[in-house]
Amino acid sequence: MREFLLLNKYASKVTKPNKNSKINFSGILGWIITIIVMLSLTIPLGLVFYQIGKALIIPLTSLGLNYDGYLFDIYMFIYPLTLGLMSVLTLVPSMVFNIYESEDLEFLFTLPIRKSSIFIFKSIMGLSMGMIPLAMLVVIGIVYAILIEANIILSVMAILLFILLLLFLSLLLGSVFARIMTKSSAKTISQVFLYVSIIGYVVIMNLMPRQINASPEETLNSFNSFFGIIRGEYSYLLPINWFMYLTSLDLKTIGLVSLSIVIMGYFIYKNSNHFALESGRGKAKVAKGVNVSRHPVINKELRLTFRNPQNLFGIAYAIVFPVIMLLINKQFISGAMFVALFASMYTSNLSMQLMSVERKTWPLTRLLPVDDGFVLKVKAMIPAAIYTLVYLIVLIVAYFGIGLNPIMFLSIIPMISVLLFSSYFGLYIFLKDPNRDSNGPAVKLSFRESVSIQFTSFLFGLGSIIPFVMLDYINENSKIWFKMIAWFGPWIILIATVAITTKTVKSAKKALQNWE
Amino acid sequence: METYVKSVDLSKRFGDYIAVNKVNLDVKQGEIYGFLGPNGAGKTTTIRMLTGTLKPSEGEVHICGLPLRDRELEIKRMIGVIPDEPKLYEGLRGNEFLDFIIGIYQLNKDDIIPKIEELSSAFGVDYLNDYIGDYSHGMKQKLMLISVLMREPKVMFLDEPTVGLDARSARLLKDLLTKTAQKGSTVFITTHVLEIAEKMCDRIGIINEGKLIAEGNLEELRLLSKEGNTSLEDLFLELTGNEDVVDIVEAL
Ligand SMILES: Nc1ncnc2c1ncn2[C@@H]1O[C@H](COP(=O)(O)OP(=O)(O)OP(=O)(O)O)[C@@H](O)[C@H]1O
Ligand SMILES: [Mg+2]
Repeated sequence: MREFLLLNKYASKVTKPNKNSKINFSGILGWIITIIVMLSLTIPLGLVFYQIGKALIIPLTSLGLNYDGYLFDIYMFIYPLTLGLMSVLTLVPSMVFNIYESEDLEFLFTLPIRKSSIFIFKSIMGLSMGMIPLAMLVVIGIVYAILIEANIILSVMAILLFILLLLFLSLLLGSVFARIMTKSSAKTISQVFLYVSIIGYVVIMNLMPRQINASPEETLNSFNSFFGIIRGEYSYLLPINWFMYLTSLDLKTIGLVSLSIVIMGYFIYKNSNHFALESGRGKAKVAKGVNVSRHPVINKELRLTFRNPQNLFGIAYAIVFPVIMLLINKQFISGAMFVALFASMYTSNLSMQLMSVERKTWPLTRLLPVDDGFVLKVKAMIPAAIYTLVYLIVLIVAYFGIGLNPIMFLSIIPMISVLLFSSYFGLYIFLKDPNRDSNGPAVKLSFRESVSIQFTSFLFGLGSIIPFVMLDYINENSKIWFKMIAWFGPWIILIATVAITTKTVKSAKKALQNWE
Repeated sequence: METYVKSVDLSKRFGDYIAVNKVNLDVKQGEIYGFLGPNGAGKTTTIRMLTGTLKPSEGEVHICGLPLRDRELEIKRMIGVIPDEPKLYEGLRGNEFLDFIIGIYQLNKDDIIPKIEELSSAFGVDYLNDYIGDYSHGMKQKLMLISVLMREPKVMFLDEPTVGLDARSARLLKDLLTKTAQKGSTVFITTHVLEIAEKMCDRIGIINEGKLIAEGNLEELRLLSKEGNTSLEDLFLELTGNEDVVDIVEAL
């Protein structure tokens, strides 16, 4: 513990504090802003969930099913599973990469401290991502507690217990990885991990009752077997049901979960004391000749992008989740939410990261006979192009999978502009304060920066997609504002982002010229 | 004399590449051991395995008679390491970094502060109140040296410690190391400055392509020369198979 506190106090100070930042957003104001952002992301979700819930909080017994529970419990199965998986899938790689990418690891290993302290310290520093799905989970739990009229305070505590469980699960998986893997195998293992989880997810989702094209009897049968899994006599033993049972304050489950946390804690400690610093990339014995490429700058950026496992992961993530969501819900809108969220978030992240590489080798670029503006352009274009492609893939899957209205393909035009904006905005923010900590997998941003960048990009992204979805719902009764948004929304956003981007490009160039 | 640094068949593979190949070391208490070799020979890799930051693919390490595998924390407490590149927390001030070290090693402040003051004035370090992010390479190196020397570790591993130091500091370091060795500590040092090895080290080991190809004091090494080379430089080039420098320069 003492070791851990010391690490936390000193070893987190990787970069110099920025003396000339004008407004200090840490402290209370920072918290208020985070809370506002969190709320603006979670309250709509909570409201939607509450609306669905009010309609579906029908006791199972009244449907002729012999189980204690509500029809709505189906959602308490899908959402925790999806969001829980999402958070674990984000937390584990981001933790592991934070460990293996940090430059001080070598130094920490020479100190007489237990490896578990180093591991836990480094993991916690890497937890910043993956918090949004956890926040959503909390909201959903609270809504359920309200619907079933459980004691809210106790339910919230039980929900937090579940969050703790997820964090411990992530730490456990992370510690297993840290024990068995080297930096070079990190990529492969995390990819395998991703795909296995997704297959598992799809399999579990197939347990869901199928209502379509079935006779009432069949429907009742499938409901019966489904609720047998989530509301049966021993269902509380199944981890996938724990969230629901915890929220409804089932004592046996609370005991089980606490026990699991303790056991996992023990194994985290055990595993992480054996974690090895192995940064070998393997080595080719025979030297390959030097390939002379015609576009050296673009080639370099592409190589840097695709050799970082974190980026591959981000891309896979941004495709797979939206696709799953839209295939399950059979609605493009639920996939669109995620693709807008991921594409806009990861685009700026990627451009920032490409820029931070430049910072590490600074002033190499300045010494090369390459125009600064061109360097910026490449760093902005590549992330935007990659995520445009990601968006296109999701659209294509939706087109063939759920018969998406082809007009949606038009939304790619404002989307390109939004992603370019997000890319340049990321570059600009990094350029303004280049001495920030970029040792870990992600560039560390201040509250204000990450709020402004993720939030605006996300809103613009949604704004380019949702109006197209709204087009489908226009009829004679539609209000005029509804029609206006559906017709003009994306194009207004297109014009706005083009205008802002042009300005941002100029400021970014200036900021780069001011680098020293 | 007791053996302080011992390795048996120490090897490291990176994929198929063998970076360190069955290195056997036996360095006694109070000895200054110079570890020489061309770039990429495996010096840093060996030091990393000796200090417990890298797991060997094969072989054993014993420090002060304790097996590194089982007694890692105890050993880390007794040794001091100066890595090849001083990577320090840029967001800390020099004195905060020392504070951190004091806390981690649970050192007694009353004993250690006079030592810090002594060492800082010796090295001309008057910038402990500034952020490490603003230090030059040499300034960081000095801070790192202070943080290790102040603890008076039983065994010190230094990986090219004089890189970036000015002439005065380099001289001071050499004298300090000689003095610590006289007091009974062991010093394990890698360097490309053959003059340091020649003047300071009791024994020299030469590693090439992962293998320890020669070992001994200067006299013993001279006997190894087939061509009767007497300067350490010529000897080093002969042993590592790099005598062709002269021919290359001619050809260019
Ligand atoms: N993490 C790693 N992954 C793959 N190969 C490595 C790794 N670390 C070192 N090597 C290889 O091992 C060999 C020895 O490297 P090492 O750093 O020990 O050399 P060195 O003797 O310290 O060289 P120098 O004098 O330049 O510091 C080199 O060929 C290097 O490329
Ligand atoms: Mg080296």
